[in-house]
Amino acid sequence: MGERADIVVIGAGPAGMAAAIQAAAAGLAVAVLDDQPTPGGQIWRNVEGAAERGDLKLFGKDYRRGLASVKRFRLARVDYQPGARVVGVEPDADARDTGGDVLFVRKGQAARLSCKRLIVATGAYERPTPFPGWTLPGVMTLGAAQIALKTSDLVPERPFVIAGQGPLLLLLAAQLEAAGAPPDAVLDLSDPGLALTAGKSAAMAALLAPDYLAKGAYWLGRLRATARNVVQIRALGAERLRQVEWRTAAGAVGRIDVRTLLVHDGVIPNAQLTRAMRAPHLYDMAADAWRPAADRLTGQLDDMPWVHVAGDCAGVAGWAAAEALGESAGAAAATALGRTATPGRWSRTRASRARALRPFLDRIYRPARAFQRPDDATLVCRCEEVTAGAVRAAAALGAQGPNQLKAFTRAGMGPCQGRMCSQTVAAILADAQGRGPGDVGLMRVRLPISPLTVGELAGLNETEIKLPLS
Amino acid sequence: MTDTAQVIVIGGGMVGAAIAYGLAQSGAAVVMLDEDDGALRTARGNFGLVWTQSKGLGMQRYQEWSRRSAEIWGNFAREIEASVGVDAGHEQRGGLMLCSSPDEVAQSEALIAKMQAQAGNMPYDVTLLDRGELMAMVPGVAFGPDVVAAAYCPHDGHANPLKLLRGMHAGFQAAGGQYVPNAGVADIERAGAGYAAIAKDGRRFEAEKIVIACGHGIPALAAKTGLHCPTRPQRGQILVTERLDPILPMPMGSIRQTDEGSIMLGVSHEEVGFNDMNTGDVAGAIAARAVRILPALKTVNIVRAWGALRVMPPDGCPIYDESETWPGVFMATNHSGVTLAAVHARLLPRWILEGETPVGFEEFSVKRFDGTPHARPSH
Repeated sequence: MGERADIVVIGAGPAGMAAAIQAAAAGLAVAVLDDQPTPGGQIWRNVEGAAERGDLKLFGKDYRRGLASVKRFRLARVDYQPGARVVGVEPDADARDTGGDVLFVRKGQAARLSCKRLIVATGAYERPTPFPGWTLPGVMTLGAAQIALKTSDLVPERPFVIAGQGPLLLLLAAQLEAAGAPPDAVLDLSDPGLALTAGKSAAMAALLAPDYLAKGAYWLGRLRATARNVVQIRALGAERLRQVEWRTAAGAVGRIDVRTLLVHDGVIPNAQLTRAMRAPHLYDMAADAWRPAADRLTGQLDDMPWVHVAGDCAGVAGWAAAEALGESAGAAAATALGRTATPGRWSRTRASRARALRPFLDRIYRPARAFQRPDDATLVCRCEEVTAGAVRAAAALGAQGPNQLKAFTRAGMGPCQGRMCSQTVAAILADAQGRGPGDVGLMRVRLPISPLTVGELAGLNETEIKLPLS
Repeated sequence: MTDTAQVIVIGGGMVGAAIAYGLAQSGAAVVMLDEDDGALRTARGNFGLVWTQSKGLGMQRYQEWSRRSAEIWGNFAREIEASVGVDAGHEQRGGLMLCSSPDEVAQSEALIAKMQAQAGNMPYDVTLLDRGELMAMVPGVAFGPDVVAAAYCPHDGHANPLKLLRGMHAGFQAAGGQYVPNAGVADIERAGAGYAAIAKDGRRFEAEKIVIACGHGIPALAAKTGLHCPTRPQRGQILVTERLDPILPMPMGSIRQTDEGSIMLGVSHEEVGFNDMNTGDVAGAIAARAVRILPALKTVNIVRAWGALRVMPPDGCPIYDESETWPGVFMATNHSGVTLAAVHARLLPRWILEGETPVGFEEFSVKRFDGTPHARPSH
């Protein structure tokens, strides 16, 4: 048997840290597993390092706030295990509510950690952006560019263009400008260009928004000079990216010479773990994404009461909501284990305030059609090199859903387990069958949700299991 | 909705698709009814061996049936490739079953002796190689020190089961077969001189004959048509590594390298009912064994793993039968859908369409279980 804890929290972003602090304050043994080397999650990635470098200002007020949260987390009595990559969760045998084991890899060794309650706070990841030429070297996601900026103080190689849509696009443009490297152009793929070009919406966003959006609205004005509303992009180049070609709704076409192209189409919940556990998930039409079926405040899973989800993995709502919901999930889990825990009264208010903005954001930041409906020649599954055309052919052969389609095409069989293609595959299939993506469903995810070596996994061989002759 | 066909095949997995493909190739008007995307699908979890050396202990007919299928598999695969351009990745360069302890050597010797005795006039070409002979046969494979012997059979091989499935589906449709997905069958009724299959959503499909070949769904439908199907689910777990350059020249029982380069590691036999989750303990045991056999795998990434449920008859051998009270209703089930795909496609259509069967075929009847305690399953 492995180690034991009362509560295991997966993820040390805003939600995970807040949950762990709450539960530890209630006197419980809390372990936090996070795959990054330092706490903060994506939004506050390396905030301690940036503070040491004196770079905090670069990233704006929301980033600076993270330093206080990370400091609080460092002081809490939790067993914090950085560099721990969770590969799966197993509920106790024949029981749905007594706890279970978290399987993870740390320092080259697979291990098990048993707990009575689990809090999943695995955040969000960028919606995949398939378009012609997206696999060329020189094309990268906006999130990857932000990681380089936060951890290594690196800015994209110029000239560079940002293309896509979503609030993060505004934020990064602002951060890069502050770092002295503004984008040479912004290609706005939002439909119908609301986010960048409709002044009214921007003003409304500023009115309702937390600080980063107000800041985004300010940058909107600055970006308008370099921004263009387009409906299609193509990355051109033989060995690497040379040019970006754009096309507007009116049919105008142009090309820009670039070294780097950053693309982004919003973020979606990282629900790989709860999906691998076979917890029920719902399709959120407004957000165009799947999320676990859970209580909206405590994050308790409808079907697995010993598991809570908190933060963006439960439905994208940003860091303020994540922190509040993390507190709420931590308190609920502690209460379920017989402890007294009350999250700050304001946490509920903060959560609902941050969430109140969401329908509006979801409306103006719709996924870009150019990315959601790639042409036949475009790769949708990068791991197995499957094109949109091959997916459409399998749909024509009668594949009922994404799992049969995966069996027929190999889309989703690579190391990412469909993280990068299952949304696109479902959208293409939905179109082919005249159904909604929520009706089509998603590919099944299984343990291990991320790769580990045969040698690492062999470390889990604690019990004698008889295998037949090989 | 009513459709009339000559034959309805219920099931679009490895067994159903092979039979439907074969029937359509024979010129019959066939409808294949398949379940939805979430169904328990053993056909998406196969290991992919086309295997004879361990098949049929206790039933000589099954031993012969597997061997016959292995013999015609190459032609069968070429026919699919010629008709729809899907290469099922079939290779028949022999296969090994490795022994990594004196205990396993003894087990292997005993198995070979029994299979040899049972085979009668049919040649059973399995040789037990010692470590030196093994290394000479597959030079360049860096076995761990525990590997002391291996049983070698020249008739064994492997294929890509998912490409096989897609090829059979595509070939079925190319031959004029009608595929109906999302049509899990809830009931079978008599309809005039023939039968009707009623889908769960109420759609009705009529035909002169019905073949029940829907894996774990067979027992319920068989019971409605005067048949008995005593199969149970048995879980197997499999791990798949990242792609490597070719390192394994032939499949080695539970370790094989696929046509795409990844190494597949199997496989457990677990009695856990209808639970197809994969688990850390079994995955760990499979990984530990793999490292013992091929230490170089230690640093290779596992990119995928799964559990799937074999359709396991009590004696591990196939069941093929026709209802006495509902003549024209057939059932076909077994846990060896990849190996037997060739005989299912080539030989079962004659049984279904014309009542013509290979010698001794009646031994596969479910009647063999009448009044007998269920025998120990073989692999």
